[in-house]
Amino acid sequence: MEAVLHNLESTVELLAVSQTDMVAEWDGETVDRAFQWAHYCEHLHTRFHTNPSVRAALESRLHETNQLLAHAFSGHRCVTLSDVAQCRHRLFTGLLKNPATPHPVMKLLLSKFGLAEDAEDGQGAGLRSACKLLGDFLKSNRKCDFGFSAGTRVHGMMLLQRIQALQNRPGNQTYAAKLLDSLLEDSGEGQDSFLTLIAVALLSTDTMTEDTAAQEFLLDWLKGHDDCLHSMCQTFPPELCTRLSQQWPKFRLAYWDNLKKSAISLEYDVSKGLWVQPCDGTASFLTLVDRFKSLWNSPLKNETEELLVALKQADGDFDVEGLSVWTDLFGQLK
Amino acid sequence: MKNATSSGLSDGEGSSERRFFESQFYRFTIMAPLSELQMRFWMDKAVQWGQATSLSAQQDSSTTEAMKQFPFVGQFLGRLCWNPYVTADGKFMLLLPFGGVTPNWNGETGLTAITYLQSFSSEPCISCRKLLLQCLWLLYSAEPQNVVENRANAWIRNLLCHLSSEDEGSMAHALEKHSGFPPPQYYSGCLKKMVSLLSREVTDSRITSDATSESKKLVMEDVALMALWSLSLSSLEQAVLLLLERVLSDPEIMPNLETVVADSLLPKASALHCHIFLIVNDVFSGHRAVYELWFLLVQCGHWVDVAGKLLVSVESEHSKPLLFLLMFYHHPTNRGHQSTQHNMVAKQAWSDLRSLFLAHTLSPERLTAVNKMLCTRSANFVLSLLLNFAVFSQASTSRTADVLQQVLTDAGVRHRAMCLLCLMQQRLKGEGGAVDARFRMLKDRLHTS
Repeated sequence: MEAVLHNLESTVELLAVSQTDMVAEWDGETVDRAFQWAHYCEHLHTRFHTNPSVRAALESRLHETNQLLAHAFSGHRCVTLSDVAQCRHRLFTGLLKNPATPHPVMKLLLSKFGLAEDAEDGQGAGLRSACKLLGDFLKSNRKCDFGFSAGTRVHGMMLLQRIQALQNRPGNQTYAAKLLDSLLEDSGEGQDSFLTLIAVALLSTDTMTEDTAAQEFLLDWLKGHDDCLHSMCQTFPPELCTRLSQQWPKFRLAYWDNLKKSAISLEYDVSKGLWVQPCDGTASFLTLVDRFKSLWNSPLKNETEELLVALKQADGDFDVEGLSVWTDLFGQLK
Repeated sequence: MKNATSSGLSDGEGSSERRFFESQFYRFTIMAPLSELQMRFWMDKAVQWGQATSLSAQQDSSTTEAMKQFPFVGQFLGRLCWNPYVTADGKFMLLLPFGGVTPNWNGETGLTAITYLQSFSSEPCISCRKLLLQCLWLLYSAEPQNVVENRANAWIRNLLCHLSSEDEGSMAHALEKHSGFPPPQYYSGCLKKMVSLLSREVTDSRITSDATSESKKLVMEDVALMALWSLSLSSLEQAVLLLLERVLSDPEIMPNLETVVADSLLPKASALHCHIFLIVNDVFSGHRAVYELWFLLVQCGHWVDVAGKLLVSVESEHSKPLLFLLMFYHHPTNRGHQSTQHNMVAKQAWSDLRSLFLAHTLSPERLTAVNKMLCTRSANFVLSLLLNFAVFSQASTSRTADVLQQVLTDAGVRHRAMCLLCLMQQRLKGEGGAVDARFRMLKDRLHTS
């Protein structure tokens, strides 16, 4: 095992060096050797990433090496286990971005990239473009797809597949949760695109078996990330929230809870005869009406009615406007 | 330079440039006689090439010169790098059937893009991406001499990075980065999922959208769909099975059966492509009974109808040949003993039904007998006869309803009755208001019972 860890360490060092001026000394042979080592590390990842104990050893060695390298090279970019899965690609882009990369090495990279018949990275680029092209093609009009593009839906499937692969071996829950954390962190553009991805994955029908473990896992993760769940309940269109509530009772509870909190925070302005929001971050009366209406018009009608009746009764069971927000919401639905 | 030589670039770069100049040279000689100055220029070039000992010495013009001569070359190549049609490469040709899928595209843009892509597919060995990379590489300076060349080099390196992975800070990039696979493998997985998703959508919408509905979300060229079936066996099988499923599950479809079948495009595809015909035929043969029924109903149902209708009103002595005809329709392969047995069943069923619909009193024994016969191998025959009596006999509405209610006790049989009834109604269209009213009443009864 120590030999394996040592090889990993050397390759990570090699990656770091490839991003420095020292690359000016490299020739074709050096680059070939470097790619071979990178390939070796990818095998390590494939072989061990679902094995909790070996993975822990690999991660801890990565951590130590990163720390040492951060001292030696300013601006060193930490190498994570996900990076190890794409080691050749990291090496490739590192060299491309490095102005010190000598001309013959650049030429070699270009041949690896796309000019040679068997250029692997080039194929990746072609496949990626093809995905992009097809992904935007089909924005489904069907209501059940909420206008998600084929690309987004495929992203959702890929995420589920990745989680399923981890779940196939015991002891990977924490690692899978960390994966979601990293995705959230790296997704950019606020949380929106990440949350959409989660929603698409939750509604995905790609699962070959009846196995919903990966989707249940997403829901559990959301439960531990209140801000994400809150954003979903607040920013997703009512129909999407209703659909998610229909399919996933766990989501439904969170959604109802969110609606309840928003409703309770409303205050009645006697002079205007309106329910107003005392602060931002909650939904307005009209928004709540929309959201409840959507639930009301779905197969969840009975549950919604029971809930509202119970809340109305707990609130004094008034039938006059302006006293209980539940009475007034209920009135808008009937 | 050993590595560079074995890397696929080999001697291509210098010679491709030389080819470019050669073609320019020919153009000049064809268009106009060379001036002495031009002649001198080309002579010098020839001498330089002859003396060149390294690849870089064969570089005819610097990036600076090229930028001066073609100021927009960078912008032009850059735009192409951001265009997925170009970077998707020749392998993308396999996916051409999807060319017309997008609703945001109108037919014209779709067609243009397809023609554009097809222009490359006629020469499968040249890929757009490869050409683009070659052009970029020609602009890359081995030893940059000035700021422009330095900048151009940095720009080319950036473009190559852009081509090799998603730009940072996007969901797509995050997914690629944490996929746990090298990008080519990850995108290969994505593409497989994408293709299966799209072919499912295309097939579904082709089968389930009827011609008049507003559901025109997928405007797919017929040719493209047939091309997809030629390429993807699973798509073809799915299309056939969906058609079967639809025809078998929805009794209301019977009136439009021919349109639905034609709309599925399967007959057309079968006529045009022999292997599609063989596969479709195979799938249908697996459902032999369905196929025969379907085929007969579509092709020669009219004489069965006439026989069925006549049997309601004829006297006993004329019933025999008609019963034989109807029985043959339902059991075309019967021979010998089985045939005799079936003929007896037919006769018995006919006399029972006649009594149930026309006699003054309703015989419980006969009701039980018909009810039992509807669960035997002759069920379809009895059912068809029963419905003919229900539609054409002079029996009162209440008597007819009574009989139906008591003999159609099984849900499966009732469903089949509904299918047959829809089919009969379709064939008798234009027969007049009385018959139509009768059909409405019968359908209502079947629905409510």
